[in-house]
Amino acid sequence: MDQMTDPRVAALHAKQARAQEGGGADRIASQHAKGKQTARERIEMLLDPGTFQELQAFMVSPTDGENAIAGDGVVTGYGEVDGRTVYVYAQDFTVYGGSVSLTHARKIVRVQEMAMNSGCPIIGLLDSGGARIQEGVSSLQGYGEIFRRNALASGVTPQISVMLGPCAGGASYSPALTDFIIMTDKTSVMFITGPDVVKSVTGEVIDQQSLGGAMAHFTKSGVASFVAENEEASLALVRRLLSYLPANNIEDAPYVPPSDHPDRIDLRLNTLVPEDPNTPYDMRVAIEGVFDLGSFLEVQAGWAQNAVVGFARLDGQPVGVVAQQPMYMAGVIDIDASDKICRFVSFCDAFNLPVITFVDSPGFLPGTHQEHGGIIRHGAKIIYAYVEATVPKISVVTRKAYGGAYVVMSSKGIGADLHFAWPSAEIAVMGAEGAVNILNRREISQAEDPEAARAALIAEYREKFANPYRAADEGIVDAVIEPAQTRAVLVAALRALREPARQMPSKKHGVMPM
Amino acid sequence: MPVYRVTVAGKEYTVEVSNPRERPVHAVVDGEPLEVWVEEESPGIGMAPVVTAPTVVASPAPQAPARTAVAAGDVTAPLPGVVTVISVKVGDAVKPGQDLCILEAMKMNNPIRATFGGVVKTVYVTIGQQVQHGTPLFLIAD
Repeated sequence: MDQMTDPRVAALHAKQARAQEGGGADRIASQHAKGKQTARERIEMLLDPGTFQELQAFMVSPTDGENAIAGDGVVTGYGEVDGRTVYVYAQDFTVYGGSVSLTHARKIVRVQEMAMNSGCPIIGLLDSGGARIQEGVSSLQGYGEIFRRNALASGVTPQISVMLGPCAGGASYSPALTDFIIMTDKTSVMFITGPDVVKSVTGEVIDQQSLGGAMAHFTKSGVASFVAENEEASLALVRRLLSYLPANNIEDAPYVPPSDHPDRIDLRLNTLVPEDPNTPYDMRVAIEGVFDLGSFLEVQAGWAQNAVVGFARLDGQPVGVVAQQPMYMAGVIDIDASDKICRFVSFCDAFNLPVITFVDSPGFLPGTHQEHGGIIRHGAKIIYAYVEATVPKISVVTRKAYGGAYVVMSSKGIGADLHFAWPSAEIAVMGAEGAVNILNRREISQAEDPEAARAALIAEYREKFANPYRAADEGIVDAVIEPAQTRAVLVAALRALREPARQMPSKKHGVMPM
Repeated sequence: MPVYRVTVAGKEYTVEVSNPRERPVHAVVDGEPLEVWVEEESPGIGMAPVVTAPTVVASPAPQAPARTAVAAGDVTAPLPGVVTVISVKVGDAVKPGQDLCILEAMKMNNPIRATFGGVVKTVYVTIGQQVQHGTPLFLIAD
């Protein structure tokens, strides 16, 4: 008898083959008919070929008795992405609709704990009908256990959730606690209460996709960090995202040898900012011109577009990029932009990514909608996140930097390590119109032609203060730089700041304004 | 502009409403311009709306204020400002990312762009009009 046909090995193979079938051929066919892959097929697409080691494949729920299906609706284990270990769990919709039993939850918790203890990222592939109702409250206990590990792992290892089917009710809070949510267009959906409950409570009639589909969360709620057109693209995005991230909070982010010259000059940047202060320009052009070509990966690109956040590389070193976008809502700071910036800066700090900020903001958005929505609470978070960040912080003022909106955006005062300005920068306590109306009220009212006097005074104020040189005189701006040279300046700045020795005061934790 | 005759506590008012979906609703009551924030739900909690439980006595048939101010397919103002340029007209086909109008706000000429493609069915605003956050600007449909 040769080694391959030992009956004990053959019995194992048979048992494994049965476990691999999940909910069976019919359920798999039905999953495929919906344009969805099975849990195992998804893991194959995500990981480097042949690297997946499944864990607890034979585990069953004790309450299922005769009907128990090996694996209990979730495939868990570890494998590699570009040679780096990640932990993964994939809910298997073919087994009881991917519903969560206590056993199912414990399998997830097992890989969550292993990921945290070994300092590796964890990727969740979610496709579940919800709690396994037959299990009653045990299932809820299971969710709680998962949420707890999500919260504990926050800031320890990166956590990424990929939405590949339904995720409704309280279950939404597991992905919500992770760092990034990638939603698959048209097939994934997330909501706390579905269309039926919404209709019975509020009378609103809305379908699942409009309420909680990928585009709703990508453009309206900000819940989705990314949207991808299909499962393959969603999983490819995980691999790309991981390329910017360290495996844990102690490691440095992976260096990728750049094909781009560190001193590359981009002459477009010298004329990017229009001379007319009322004409917008696209801040993405500045980002593309400065960072390693093609390296920018925007996060939450469809929501709060007045702020732009994302990952990029600067001479091979991954960094976090925060910018204001004059092309959308003039680049104002509003509630959503505050949330977006705060969360991103906090993530970068947790995972040792330097933060580079491009500033061009006319201020905070006025109005009852914002004030009563709590822009004071929300805006405060930006300051909090920047101050708390001990990673290198570099800011570049490209144009408008007025008043409080200037202070919150990684100013020297709140702790930027290096603060640069383009010659087009306008750094002042307030805009010319507002300042003249306060400072020269009497002069204007007593003038023969008040409007002409006002216009002349505004022009004079702009000439005097709407530039970076007052701030440079004060030493607040470290250097006024030629826009085309920004890349070389930032590459050198990052080298100069490589290891800022900086610690937060000893405390249990601060209380972020929410 | 639709004109309503509204009776409140026995007294009759003439009310003109240019766009009932706008928030605040800009109404003209007996010649007096008035901004009204319509309470969308939970009546009886918090502040009372400016106009309480009107009894509409005459035509046109009153349109119940839409539950959600914005219809599917509406492009809305992302921030308060003044419409200075309108680049499309009813019947134009538009592509995602195409400029629809310029909204001057925060001392910036903000391009308002289509987020989805379709045909312009309605232009709700005129040049020079002040709009609020969330005011519908265009209706775009297939």
